[in-house]
Amino acid sequence: MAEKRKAELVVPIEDEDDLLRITPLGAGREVGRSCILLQYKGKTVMLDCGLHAGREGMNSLPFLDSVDPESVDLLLVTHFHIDHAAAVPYYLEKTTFRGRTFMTRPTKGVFRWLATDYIRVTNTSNSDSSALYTEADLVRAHAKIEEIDVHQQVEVGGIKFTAYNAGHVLGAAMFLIEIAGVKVLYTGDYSREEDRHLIPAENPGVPVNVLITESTYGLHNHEPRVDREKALMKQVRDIVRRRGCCLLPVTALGRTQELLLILEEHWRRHISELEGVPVFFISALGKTGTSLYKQYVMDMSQRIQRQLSRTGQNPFDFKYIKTRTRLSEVPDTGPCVVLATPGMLQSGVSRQLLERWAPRPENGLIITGYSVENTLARDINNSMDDIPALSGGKIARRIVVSNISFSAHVDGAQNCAFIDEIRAPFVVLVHGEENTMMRLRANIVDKYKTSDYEVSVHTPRNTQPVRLHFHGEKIARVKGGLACKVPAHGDAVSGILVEKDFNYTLVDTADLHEFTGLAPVVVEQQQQVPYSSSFSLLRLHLEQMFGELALTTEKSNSGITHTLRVYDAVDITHSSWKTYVEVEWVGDIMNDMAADSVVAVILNTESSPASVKITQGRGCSHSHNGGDGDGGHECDDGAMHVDGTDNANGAAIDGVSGPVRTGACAEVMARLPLFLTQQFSHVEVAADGSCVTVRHGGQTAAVDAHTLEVQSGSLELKERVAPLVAQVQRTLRPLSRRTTALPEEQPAQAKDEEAASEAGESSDAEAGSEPEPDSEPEVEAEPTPPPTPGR
Amino acid sequence: MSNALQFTAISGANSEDAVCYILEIDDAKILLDCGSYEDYAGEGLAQLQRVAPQVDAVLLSHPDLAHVGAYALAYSQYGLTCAAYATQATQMMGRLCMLDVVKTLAAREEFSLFDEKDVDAAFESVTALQYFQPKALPGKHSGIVITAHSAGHTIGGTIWTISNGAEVVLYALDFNHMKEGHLNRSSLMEGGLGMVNQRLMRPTLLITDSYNALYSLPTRKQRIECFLGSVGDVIKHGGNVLIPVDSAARVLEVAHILNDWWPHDKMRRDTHVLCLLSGYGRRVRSFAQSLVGWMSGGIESQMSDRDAKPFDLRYVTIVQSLEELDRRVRKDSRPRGRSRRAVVLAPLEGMSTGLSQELFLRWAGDRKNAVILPQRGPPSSLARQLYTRWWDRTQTRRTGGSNDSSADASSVVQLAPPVRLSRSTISVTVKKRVQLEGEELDNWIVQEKRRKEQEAAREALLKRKRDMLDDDDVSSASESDDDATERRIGMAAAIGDVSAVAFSEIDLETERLLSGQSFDLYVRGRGPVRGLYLENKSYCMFPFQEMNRRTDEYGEIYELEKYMVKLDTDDATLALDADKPYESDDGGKKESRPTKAVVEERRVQLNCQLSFVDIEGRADGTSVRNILALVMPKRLVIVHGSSAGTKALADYCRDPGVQVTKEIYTPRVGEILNVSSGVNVYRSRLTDTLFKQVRMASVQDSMVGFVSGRVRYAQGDQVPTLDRDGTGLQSAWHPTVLVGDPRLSALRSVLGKQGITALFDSEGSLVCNNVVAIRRGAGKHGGPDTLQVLGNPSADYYHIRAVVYSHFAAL
Repeated sequence: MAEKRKAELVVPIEDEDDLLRITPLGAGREVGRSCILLQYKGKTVMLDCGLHAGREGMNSLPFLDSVDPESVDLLLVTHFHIDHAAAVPYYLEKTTFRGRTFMTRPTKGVFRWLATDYIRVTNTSNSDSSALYTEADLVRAHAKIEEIDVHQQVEVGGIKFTAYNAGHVLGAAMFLIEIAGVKVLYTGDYSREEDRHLIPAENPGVPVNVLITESTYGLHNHEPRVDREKALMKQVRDIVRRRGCCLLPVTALGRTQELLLILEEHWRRHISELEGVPVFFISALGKTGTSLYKQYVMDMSQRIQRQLSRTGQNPFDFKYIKTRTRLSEVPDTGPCVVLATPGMLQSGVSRQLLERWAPRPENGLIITGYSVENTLARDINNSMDDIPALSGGKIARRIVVSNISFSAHVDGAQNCAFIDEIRAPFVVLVHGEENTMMRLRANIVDKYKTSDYEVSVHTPRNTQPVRLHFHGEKIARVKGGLACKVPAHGDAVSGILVEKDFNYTLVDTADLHEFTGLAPVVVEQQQQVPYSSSFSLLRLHLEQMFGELALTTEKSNSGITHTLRVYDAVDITHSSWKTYVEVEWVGDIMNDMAADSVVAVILNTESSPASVKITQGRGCSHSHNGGDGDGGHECDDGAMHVDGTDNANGAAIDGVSGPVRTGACAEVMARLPLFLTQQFSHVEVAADGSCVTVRHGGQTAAVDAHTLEVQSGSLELKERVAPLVAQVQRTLRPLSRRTTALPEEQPAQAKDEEAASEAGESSDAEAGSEPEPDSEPEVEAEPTPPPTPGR
Repeated sequence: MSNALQFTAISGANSEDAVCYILEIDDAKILLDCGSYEDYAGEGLAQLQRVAPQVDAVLLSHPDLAHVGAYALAYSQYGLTCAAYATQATQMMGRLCMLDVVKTLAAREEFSLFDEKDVDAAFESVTALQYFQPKALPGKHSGIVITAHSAGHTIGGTIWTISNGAEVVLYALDFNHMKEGHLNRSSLMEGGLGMVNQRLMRPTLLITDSYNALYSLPTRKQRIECFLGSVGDVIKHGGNVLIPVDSAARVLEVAHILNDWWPHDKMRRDTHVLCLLSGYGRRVRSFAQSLVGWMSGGIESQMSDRDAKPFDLRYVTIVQSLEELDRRVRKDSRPRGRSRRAVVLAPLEGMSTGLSQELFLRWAGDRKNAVILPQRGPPSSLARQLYTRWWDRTQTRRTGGSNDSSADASSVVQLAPPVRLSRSTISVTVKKRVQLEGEELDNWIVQEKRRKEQEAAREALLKRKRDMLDDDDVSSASESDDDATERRIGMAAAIGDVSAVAFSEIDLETERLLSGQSFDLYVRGRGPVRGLYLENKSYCMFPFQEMNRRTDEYGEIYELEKYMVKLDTDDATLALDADKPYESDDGGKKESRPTKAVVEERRVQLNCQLSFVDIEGRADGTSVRNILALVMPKRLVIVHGSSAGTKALADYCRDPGVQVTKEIYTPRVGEILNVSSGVNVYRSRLTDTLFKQVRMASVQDSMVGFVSGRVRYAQGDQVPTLDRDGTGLQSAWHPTVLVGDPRLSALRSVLGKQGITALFDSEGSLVCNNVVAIRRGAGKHGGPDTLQVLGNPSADYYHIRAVVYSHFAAL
């Protein structure tokens, strides 16, 4: 056994079937256009499908053409941000993708409006109308997207996946994907910090094989959230106190709602002080956003839910914050706080307000989001003395600018802690700039160099697959009759293995329907063979061919019906008043053969002149043409014949039994080289015929001619030759013996070899009749082929 | 290897009582639902009390009284402290339902079984699940996995699968196979057109109800039309409509239907108000809006307008008391001064108590008014009595002519316009609270005063003790009053000897003196106390208590702050300022006058119209029967239905022509059923060497193959490994098994592709090329499906046979 296990380890892992490929089509060593492809066991899953914010048109798409969209089974979208979801309508509507798409419920709901907004913005900014899709496409695509709930387990054709909370934004999910027992966790963008309304990223709590994680911040660490919040509130308060106006450029949906909650709470706590200082949220999507957020309260943290269920008051019903769609709805007097879109001051309300407020030093600008290069939000940090006005010209900048990041990505420490918690043997980093990513990787590798946590970290470029090999363990559930007792070491087990979506069930044939819903089908066959002679003649011919046959007789008004049974499988029914014989059997490779020979015999019976002669010679009185002779005679005749043939058969068996045994061996030996040469190139027969030698790959195996035992220095070769020899033996065994003797044989497989060598000694009386028929068809019929040598 | 499985009904078996069952899997006890109607009486509760402490998990399936009614009671009084599971929507709406019931009962009778706090505590301890979220039970029962699937019927309504090894129990009560206004159909029926969900098929045990077994219904469309038609008629004739509904479940559907219909006619908006009369109506609406995800997709997509709220019920006015209803009706009166009428949805659905009953008492006498029942109500409730009368009247009237068909007609509910049961009366048990008067009032005042004094004394004592124990001022300036109270409670809980439980009488007396509530210290001689006899004679003459600062053995002063139980788990910055005092749904003023509960019997003249339209949202009898046949459970337990209904359903399922299952149980309450299937199962590894030898054939959507190998155990491994047979004879001969789809229609198309003309003859056999017939055999009982191929030996025969074989996978 020990050798056995060793051999198992040698199994080459370069099996295509065991290869898991993870290919970033976007977000490989970059931030933006997340799109990661997961391929394993013929299943393909696409994770996210976003656009690059810094590019336009087709250039902003991930490298979608490196995979055939039709082969993608599943598209999972982690959250509604443009860089994770915006290419979904394109992929659903403009390609041949026909798989299923899933988002969490809030993601789907919010994405609808965010994408609408995105289309509007790109259409106005790009005059050449290079928009990837239109509103109509979006509506169609949106209808195809399926919703899932967090923690809900979904199975699509063998791919099991579950969404877990990821923090980050409302509805953001991590996906745990399981294909054939291999579990991959894709974090998307995630956050481990608890904030006012979101559930921080969870650990799924199951062993994960591959972790695909974001690395936006690399090793950079944030200040604690509490400090950031305090700092923000202090800034806001300072500005308001000096009677200035405070501008917070924000996006319409996402982190903004968290800011609103913070402000609302601050105002409520300090209302005495802040009385009369209005807070406005100006965004075209603002109202929609708030109503969406209200609707998805159930997907937020316990705290928010408790607030609702205890008080019946929705936390997003703001009392102090007023939502407006246009700037003109906001009065322009005295100190105020305004949150306005867009978040990077490119244009729009936030830009207008900035231009209006920039010259006065008591005003303040607080940037809370992540700013992309080449936007004013990024540039204004670099101590610009004046800012370009949208209408041309320059405006002096005296407004106080500060930066407090509220983007909810994990920082370096949190990311490392999460990796440590998950302990996946393979970690794939995506969604990070190359430098930060490499530093994170080096850090992780370094950290665990000496520990017992063996981790390999991959940082693939776009379209460069990470190839991992997983030797999935196959665990079958043995059910029903087969599982009556747990088998002991060395017990033989056989049954029907059913695989559905990588789940294996092993059951007995009788239990197949019950446990798997698959129906075993029996094909009963009935042929009507024209025959109008007497029954006794038929019986004579059949018994000559098949030995003694069981007979049942039935009398009815119309006449007598005789039924003969061949090989306990084929029923031949002869009714005295019919001009045909019914042959009935249950369809099976063996039975079909038997039935065919029965039919052949019947068809021959009447036409064969020999039979006429024989029966005449015996002085039989029945007519060879007539339909119904008199029954009584026939019976007598039949009995007579039976005796005769029986004796003959008995004699034959007695006489031949000795030679048969050696004969069988000789037969096997005669044919063995023929079979072996088909498998092995070098087969030699010893001059005296005492053994056959097989040479293969420098090893030899010898088959003894008398015992048919295989001997070889190489276990592997022996294991290949031995089954072949056994197969040849079985193939050449007489048919009758097989059909009757096998049931006893099965449980005692181990001794089969000995049993086979004693072939002639069987106890069945029917043996001995015509051993030769059909050895050829039988080879084809063998249900299990000889093991194909694994080259 | 097999599991023990027992089922016991605590309540709701062979009757329409509220449901509560115990399922025992091995040694885990799972309580399936925990219901009780608002009377809180009956055998079930005593039983529940007995078993509650032993239960390991509770599953709640619908947010109505019949399913969660006793949960808060069991949680607070019976020691049901185990994990409870429900969908998020059931949790939220179930809580509202219970709050409403508690409030209703407390306002009308001496109800002290549990209060709102208990309800909140009970439902906050529920673990909220999503549909299809597999959840393993905690601790030693981790092998048991429960999964919620949608049931229809109510928001968040659940049918559960409970699986453990080979046993898969499907607990499906009150499901609806049809899509409704605000709810999707049950996921039981999501297997495609008229098919059952594959994942829920073939459970080893199915527990289902026979509530509707004797009952089949017209289509939903007809019923809704009839319902709205009835309401519309009454409106036209200027009457009031009372629709008794439950607190938080079906009310949503009824409100949704009416809300959609209301604006169609401007006239009725002038003459009538559509009201939801419920103490928790606002919360019901607000919760429902946040639970849109649990409703049907249609609701959400109605949000075509960006800023519209889904499920806003904008035409439904929510009123919280009868007084407010009167105000509404009067306030909005038209210039001519005629006040408006109202269409009112009011809980509880049984009308045995609550606002619906009050309204009934008020309106039943008027010929113009109507009571329209959307549900039959709990057995023996007022609603059920009305339903029975309605039934007797309408159904006998219809079948009056032909008595022969009455047996059959009893099972089909006919839609009927509202009927008038002229000159009939009905007796109603009215429970209400009346204010105390005269002597009773005086007594109460005296008692109350004494109680208050004691309370104040206790409070003061507690405070002083704390002050003495802890020099540091407890309440810092920044803390709000609420915080301080919480801390006090927290402290009380934390400090052992000031546990606020046992103060001696003398302490309290002392305290009263000190706090200036009394001016004399009456010192009672204390009885002989064991111990020093000096103490025997000592009297407390001067109110003084020596209070030492508590120190540990090193003289370090205990800082109580450190040991105080923090009540609010939120971290400090996150902490909400104490939840804003909730703008209560209850119409504001709190009753200060003392009251007592009285019960009176009243006879009420039934002049109003009466109608029943089934909007219960349950699958009717016919559908249930069809669904059972599709689910194909191995064992079936039928509960929650009248004896007759249960028997009828059981008989139907036993019918050999239907082939649901042969093992059908209709337990009585308290009867212990052993329903384990005895299926054995174990896990085994398959080695690759073995697997590579298996020829797998594709059948339907699975792969099948014949495996034969030998078991070995790796060292220290409990899981057997099935490896290929090293003795060289692994591929032993075995009889061929054909596996596949035995339907002739499937075969026909296969034959057609091979150029064989195959036609069905009148007897249902498939005749191929006019020479070979293929018949579908019935299969020996329980045996495999059989196909019979008949013909003469001919080339066609062998060709067709080959095609038939190739249609199946041969193993």
